[in-house]
Amino acid sequence: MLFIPMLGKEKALNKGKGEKMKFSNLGKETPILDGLEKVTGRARYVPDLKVEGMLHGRILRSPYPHARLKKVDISKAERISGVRDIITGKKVSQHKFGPMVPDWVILPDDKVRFHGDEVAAVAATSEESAAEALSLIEVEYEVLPAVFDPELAMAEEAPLLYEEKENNIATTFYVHKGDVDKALAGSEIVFEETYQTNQVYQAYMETMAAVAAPGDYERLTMWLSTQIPSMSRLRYAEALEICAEDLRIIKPHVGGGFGAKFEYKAHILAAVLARRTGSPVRMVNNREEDFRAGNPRVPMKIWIKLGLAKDGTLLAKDTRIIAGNGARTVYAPAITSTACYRIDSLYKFKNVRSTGYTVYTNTIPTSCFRGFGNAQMHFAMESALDTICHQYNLDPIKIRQQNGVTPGFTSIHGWEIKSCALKECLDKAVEESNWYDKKKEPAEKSPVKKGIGVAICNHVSGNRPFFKPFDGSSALVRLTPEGKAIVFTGEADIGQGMNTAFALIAAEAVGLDVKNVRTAAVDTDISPFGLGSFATRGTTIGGRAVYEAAVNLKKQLLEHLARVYEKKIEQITINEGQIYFDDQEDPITVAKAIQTISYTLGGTSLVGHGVFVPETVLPDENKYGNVSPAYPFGCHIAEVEVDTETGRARLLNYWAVHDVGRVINKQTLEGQVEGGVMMGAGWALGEDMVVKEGKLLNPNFHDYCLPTAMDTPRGRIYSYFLESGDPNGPFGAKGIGEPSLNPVPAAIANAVFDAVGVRVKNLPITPEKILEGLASA
Amino acid sequence: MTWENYYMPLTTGEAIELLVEKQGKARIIAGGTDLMVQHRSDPLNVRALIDIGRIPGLKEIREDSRRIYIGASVTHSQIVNSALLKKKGRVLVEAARTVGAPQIRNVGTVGGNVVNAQPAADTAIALTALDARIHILSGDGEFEKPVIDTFLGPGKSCIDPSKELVTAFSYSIPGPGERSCFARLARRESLALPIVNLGLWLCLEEDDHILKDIRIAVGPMSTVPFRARETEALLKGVLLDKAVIEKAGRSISDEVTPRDSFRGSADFKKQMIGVILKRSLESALEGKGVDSDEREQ
Repeated sequence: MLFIPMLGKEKALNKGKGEKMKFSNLGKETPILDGLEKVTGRARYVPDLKVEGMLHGRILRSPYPHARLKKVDISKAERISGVRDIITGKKVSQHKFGPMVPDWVILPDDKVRFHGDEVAAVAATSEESAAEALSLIEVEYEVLPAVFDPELAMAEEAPLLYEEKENNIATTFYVHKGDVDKALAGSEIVFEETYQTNQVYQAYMETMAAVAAPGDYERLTMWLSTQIPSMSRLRYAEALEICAEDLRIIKPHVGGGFGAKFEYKAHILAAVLARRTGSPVRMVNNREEDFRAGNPRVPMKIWIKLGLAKDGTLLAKDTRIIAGNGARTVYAPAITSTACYRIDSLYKFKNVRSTGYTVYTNTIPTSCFRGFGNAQMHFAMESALDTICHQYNLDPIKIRQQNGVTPGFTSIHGWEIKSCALKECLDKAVEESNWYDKKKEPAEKSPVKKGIGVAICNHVSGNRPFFKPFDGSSALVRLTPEGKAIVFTGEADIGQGMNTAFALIAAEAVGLDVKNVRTAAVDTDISPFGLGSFATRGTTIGGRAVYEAAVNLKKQLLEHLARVYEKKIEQITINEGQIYFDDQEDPITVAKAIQTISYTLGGTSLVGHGVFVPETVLPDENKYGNVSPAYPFGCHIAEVEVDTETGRARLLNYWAVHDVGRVINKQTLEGQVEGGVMMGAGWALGEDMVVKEGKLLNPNFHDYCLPTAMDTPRGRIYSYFLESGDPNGPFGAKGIGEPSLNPVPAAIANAVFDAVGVRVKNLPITPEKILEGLASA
Repeated sequence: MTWENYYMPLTTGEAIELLVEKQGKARIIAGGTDLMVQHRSDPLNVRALIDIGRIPGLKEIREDSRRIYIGASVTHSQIVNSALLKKKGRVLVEAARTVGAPQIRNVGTVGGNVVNAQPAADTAIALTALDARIHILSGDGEFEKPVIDTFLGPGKSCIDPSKELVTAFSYSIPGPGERSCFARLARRESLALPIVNLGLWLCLEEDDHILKDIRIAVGPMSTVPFRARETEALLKGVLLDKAVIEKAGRSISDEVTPRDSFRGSADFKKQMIGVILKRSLESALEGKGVDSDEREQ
């Protein structure tokens, strides 16, 4: 096998924008390759698995937000027929671990820290026995004072969740570049405001799930509903105190994640029970548990101060963020730091300062949710800019074009903006939405008023500091003697359509028909290491590795074709599964040729290997350094109507324009954008995890109001894609998952303000808040 | 599951026989959309379930010379699609259309919605506005009473589904000048319980906007579906104009006594019931429905 790593070479994988490129597979509306099995119900997810001798695991969760465990008595529960094992904190190792901060244990033996915290776990031969056993575990709790609001948790008198964590502060992030105080002092416009974003739930269709099965050679196989097969393998090996090689992770179809499906306690408990009983153990959250102990969005209180010149030039940004970590650390600290400084590379700032506190409270541990802190800050920043424009009579479109980053720009944090069609995104959105005409329309006479609002966004496509050892990806593309290609990747398709994107990239790069290409399910015994689905990195970084593997495969294929058919490589062209020789009229099929080649090589498949390691760096101590190989941008314009008597805001139309570098699959891109817009609209207009004294009051889809199909815009969501052709992405492609959501709450809030003059600064924008605003106007 | 038997009788007589035979240890099930959810959190203490979904007579919507009859196991979808009710029972059609989502409307029945006795059950509010009567069969025979009299408290109906079977609802065929409509507010456009809802029936003098008679049913404003009789009294015999409509809105906001709940504060509900009454009156005058969303579900 030939191995030609393309380490960080920024090859021109595409021609620049403006030049139309001819593609056989890209830019079309390709239905996802596993679509049929999904819509017919044949696709198998972790909860569908049935393994011989499988036990059912259940978790006993704390009914108190903060309590000392005085006694956990399992004697009655153990007597239930079918119960095979019950574990408590006393029965398991108390070593500490965790994705970012070692504040996790398998099960606590001292205290519980949130309503829903794990107290004990049962494995039984049926779900009913497991449930009955749970009800018979007798726990004596000593209820402790608890704290729920992150700001109150920082107060001197607040009860501490962890004795060693002063003021309940898990982590602090600080960055200062330029001279913010001086720049603010010299600013003609100084604006200051506080915004709040609430806690919301990712609401993936498949709840958190694992099946763990002890196997041969003392190994453990885990089927996980996860975004990070390879990373969770490392973490779970640490939790179980075993060698990672003895853990095999298989990721079948996954029913969504949106950031929630990283390391998860229930997975580890399934593994512990499986190892103790010697039997496979299934652990699947019911929906209520998933609400009460999932990994919802990090709530934030964001204070922001902006300094501008009279003409709208941004001079300084100063922010202070208090973020809710919940009762143990998942990824909130990284999310807080992202909120603190990622948006600084959307605009040409020269002076920025930001402090972010990630604070423990006796509530559900919080974590990643599409947007990763950048979405929270977009709400604050883009709302603030809108207010400034209104107060100082500046044009909200022009101020963004004037200050937005441009191609070739290096941001204040050293982020290298290679491709960027931000300005064009604004132009397109303005044109398509008829922005300026709509702005001029007189107010409606009826109680229902229309309004229009804009917000722009940036994001990353890969985030170097997320996994300290490296960023990058590798892939294999295997061409079988039957002429079919299989892509092996460790990157996790969780429903976004990434596997289809990979197949399209491989097909395009080799010259195959995509119907003969598929992407294998991730299995750590077979697949390369892949960091997983986060930071909008899959298509860009994973896809680039697939591209490199396909290029490598093609090189081998050409060499073998030249050898077997006695041609020169320059004489051979491969396109859409056909091989053309320049001295021959009729092409031959790849399938026929590869069979011939394979039979000269002992029946082997040809395997292309590709590696992509972006030239990104870990930021230095002052957070300087290019973290991502590519940066996607976008502009959203929302049109709403607001009923001034009921306070209800509804979407009328929505225009989402994104610089995606290159369109790989138009159909899944549109899906991502429409999904991102509606997910953002749900957050903006009503979704809210209502917590009282630490207890979640709406842990179900009846009371937690996700938008339905009926809540989509009365008109429609218009999506447009601009192709700036990034030098690092495969064929120039950049990511879309998170940028599709980032600007949504601000665009809607700005439209609501335009409609009725009410500025809602704390999400969600409820009828009550709008009516209150109207009453006080 | 706690029950041993699941019966599917073909006549109301068979159903009643089963109820009598089981002596309180069986209960009626219709669409099951409420019952099965309740059963998961609070298991039913019965030996048998009697499914009335196969009894043909209970699935009919019909009229005779005086009244319109809606069988107890008529589904919400049947109501929504009924040509008869679209003409002669607009408030009920509009109410049924707002319940749940298509899947729930296809299964959930009007009888179940009423017997479940939630203070803001949409079809119960509509039937109350229509002054409908409920027809009940028990081991002792058949009887009927006003629908509004069946509600005893939240989730409490005077109908005992282990002894009695609701067979139908009926109301007078609307005459000249009679109009009805339904309105509600919820946290989203579908699959949501109402923050407030309102069923309105009124009768206008011919060629005139003078109200001969009016019924306003609202929820969730009390422990049971509530008739806003003070506001009705204020409006009876009055010429409906803009000023009167404004006054009616204020009156009903003062009259109702909702509670703070998950779906909205008491003050918010009081304010909102005023808004939807105003809009319903305006819409009834224009002869239009009040559901402003023109999209068909």
